[in-house]
Amino acid sequence: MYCGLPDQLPSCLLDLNWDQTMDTAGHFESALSSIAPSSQPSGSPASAHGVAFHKLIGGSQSIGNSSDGTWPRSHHVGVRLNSLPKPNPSVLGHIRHLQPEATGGVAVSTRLDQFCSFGGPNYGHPAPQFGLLDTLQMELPLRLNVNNGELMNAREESSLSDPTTRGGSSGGAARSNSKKRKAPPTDKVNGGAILATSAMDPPKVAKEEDSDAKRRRSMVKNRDENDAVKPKAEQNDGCSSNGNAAEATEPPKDYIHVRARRGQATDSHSLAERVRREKISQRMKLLQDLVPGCNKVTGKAVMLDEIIIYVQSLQRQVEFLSMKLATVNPHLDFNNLSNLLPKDVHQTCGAMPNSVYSLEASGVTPPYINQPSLHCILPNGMEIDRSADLLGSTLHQNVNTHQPLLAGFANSPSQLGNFWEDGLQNVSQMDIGHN
Amino acid sequence: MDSKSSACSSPNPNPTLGPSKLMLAFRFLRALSLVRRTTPASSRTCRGRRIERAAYASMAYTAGASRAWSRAVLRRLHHRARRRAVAPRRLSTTAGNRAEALRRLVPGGGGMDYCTLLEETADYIKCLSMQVELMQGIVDSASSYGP
Repeated sequence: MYCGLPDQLPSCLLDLNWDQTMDTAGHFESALSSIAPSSQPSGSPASAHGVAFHKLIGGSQSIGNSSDGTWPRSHHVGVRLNSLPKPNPSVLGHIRHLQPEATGGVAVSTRLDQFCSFGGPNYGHPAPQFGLLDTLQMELPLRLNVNNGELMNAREESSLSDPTTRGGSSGGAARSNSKKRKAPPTDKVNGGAILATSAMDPPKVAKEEDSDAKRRRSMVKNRDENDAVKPKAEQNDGCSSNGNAAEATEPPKDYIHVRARRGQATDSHSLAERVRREKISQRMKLLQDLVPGCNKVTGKAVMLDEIIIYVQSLQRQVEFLSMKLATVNPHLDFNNLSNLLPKDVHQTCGAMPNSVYSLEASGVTPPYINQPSLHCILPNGMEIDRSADLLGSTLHQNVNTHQPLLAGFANSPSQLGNFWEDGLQNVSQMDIGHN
Repeated sequence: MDSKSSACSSPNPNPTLGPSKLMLAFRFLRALSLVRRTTPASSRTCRGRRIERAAYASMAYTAGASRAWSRAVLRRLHHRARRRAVAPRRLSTTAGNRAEALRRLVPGGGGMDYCTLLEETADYIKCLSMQVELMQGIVDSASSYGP
């Protein structure tokens, strides 16, 4: 089961530590997906303005207001083109291509420890490397590199500039600790459309490093790790994206990407193990919510004990109550029947003052029974079987309500004409027959 | 009885919603009325056991075929109709492996990995507590109404 990571980010997004799912991720994805086909350098007009580089970091600050040309957020980073040493025309072309969509609401985070580095062997053109800039203005739309899954953090930015590692961030594990930030290289970067910024401010760098220090270190999941998780089929996809098993949001891929933490092993086995452990801890949290009184319990062993005890107690309760039901004479009337569904009870209509049926509290609590449904007002002293019939008739009557949301549910009694539904009677009859 | 095949093929009417109290009440009350009608009032234990089986069956049907534990419950009910206990209780060996103890408690827990076991346990707990709530409500209303 997927760990539920936000995987809506487009593959082109190279950012590393998305804190939250981008609510504009959809836009982002659609916007950036257009980059993928346009990965070929087009003869777009080289804008004199160059590319504004936005560091995409966790956060949901939309840059939809970029249309007015200014970035009100102080944390936006951009690169002034005039500061770029060698704006790559092809890169600019991409930017230009992206512009219409990028303003559609690309989320820009405010974290400074991440930057969007552009790389990608799919881009046949080199590009200067982007550095982290902190400008308030974005002169050009966000330029996002279509990366095939390389995620770099600030620390590895320097590694991007390393031409030897340009082919991939596979050496990310080794470079993750590097704090060097090199000057933006020239077009040696062979596949990275990374715009370098010479206007990088050292204080910004320092700030980025500091914020980095506070955050979870991540290493780029190298290709080997990728392969470990899934076949390499996606490697060639220029727009491949990463998903993060942790809280950081990364460009989604088709398969689960796990980011190795700092100081942790990055081989495939330990990563898969980590994924599994996180899954297990997620489920333990779920169970903690279900089992009452387990909030303070820490530790898996104690938690498991509590779960076992709780399940046992529930089963014993069922047995006890069934014995009790055998002896008691359940003389239910309609009033009491409504009490059987304690929560989510709505008053249906005037004709049925006591009929309050509603669906389970899974969000489906529409007052769907707003019809003068039951014409028969049941007298008091109804037996269980009549109450059961009442429930059944109520359910069947809900079929007539054209509530699409409930259509599936309300039809269930009638739809389940198969064994699954009638099996209940079969079981009861079978019990009677065998016992 | 092709319980498994039909059970697996029938879609859960509530794929996204959780198990429904209403459906559970409907099924359980129906089964309960059936049991009350067909078993003599003298044999309380026999009736009690049948009601317990009906409770588990209605729970399993309400949970749907998508859950491993519900399938296991129905399998057990259909194939072991002669046995009395639906959910055999065993002492949890806290000294031993807790996961094993949990596997014995949750129906169908023997054949799944730990991760799935936890998931199934969560759903099982949800349905069990719903069932207990329902039965408690019936008992309360019945006892409060009685003369």
